[in-house]
Amino acid sequence: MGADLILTYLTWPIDSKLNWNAGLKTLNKYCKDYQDKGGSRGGS
Amino acid sequence: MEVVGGLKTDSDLLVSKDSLESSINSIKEAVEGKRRDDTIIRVCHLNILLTGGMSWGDDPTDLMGEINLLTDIDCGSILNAIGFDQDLIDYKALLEKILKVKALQPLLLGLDKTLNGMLEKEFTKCPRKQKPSSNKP
Repeated sequence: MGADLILTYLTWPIDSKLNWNAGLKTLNKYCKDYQDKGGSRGGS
Repeated sequence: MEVVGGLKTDSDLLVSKDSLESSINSIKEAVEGKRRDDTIIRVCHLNILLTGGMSWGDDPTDLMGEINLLTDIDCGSILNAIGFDQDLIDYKALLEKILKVKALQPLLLGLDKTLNGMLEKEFTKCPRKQKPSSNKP
């Protein structure tokens, strides 16, 4: 047994601009949905 | 430790909203070249932000943990909203194949021109991922 090489990555088109605010808005929406559902999202 | 207002990820990990915002900021820093635990390579029409390394089970880089955390939230919807592509099965298989052959060279030595060249050559064999207008003679 030993160490393994693990990698992760993200890609995006060279000609596109990343929209960080859209990511934060999506996060806020996710949090709101989560709270509206009583914190049960992702659970059983 | 109690996480007030915690959110469960798709794998039932409890995280706070603050930690997710922090992860977004970490990835932003990486894209802007402000971190040292990643590399960005350009292949054909794509930028690829790549991080990782040897692991005994833990995350080899902090950035990998941040990316995995966001990928695990709502099937990566936050990353998709930012503009990252998640439809990467072909690229992942290709990168892993090449990087295993190249061992750790790209991560230990920074951007590897040889690797970049190999990827360019391989990606031209993937017509599904190519834009017709980007084909150069």
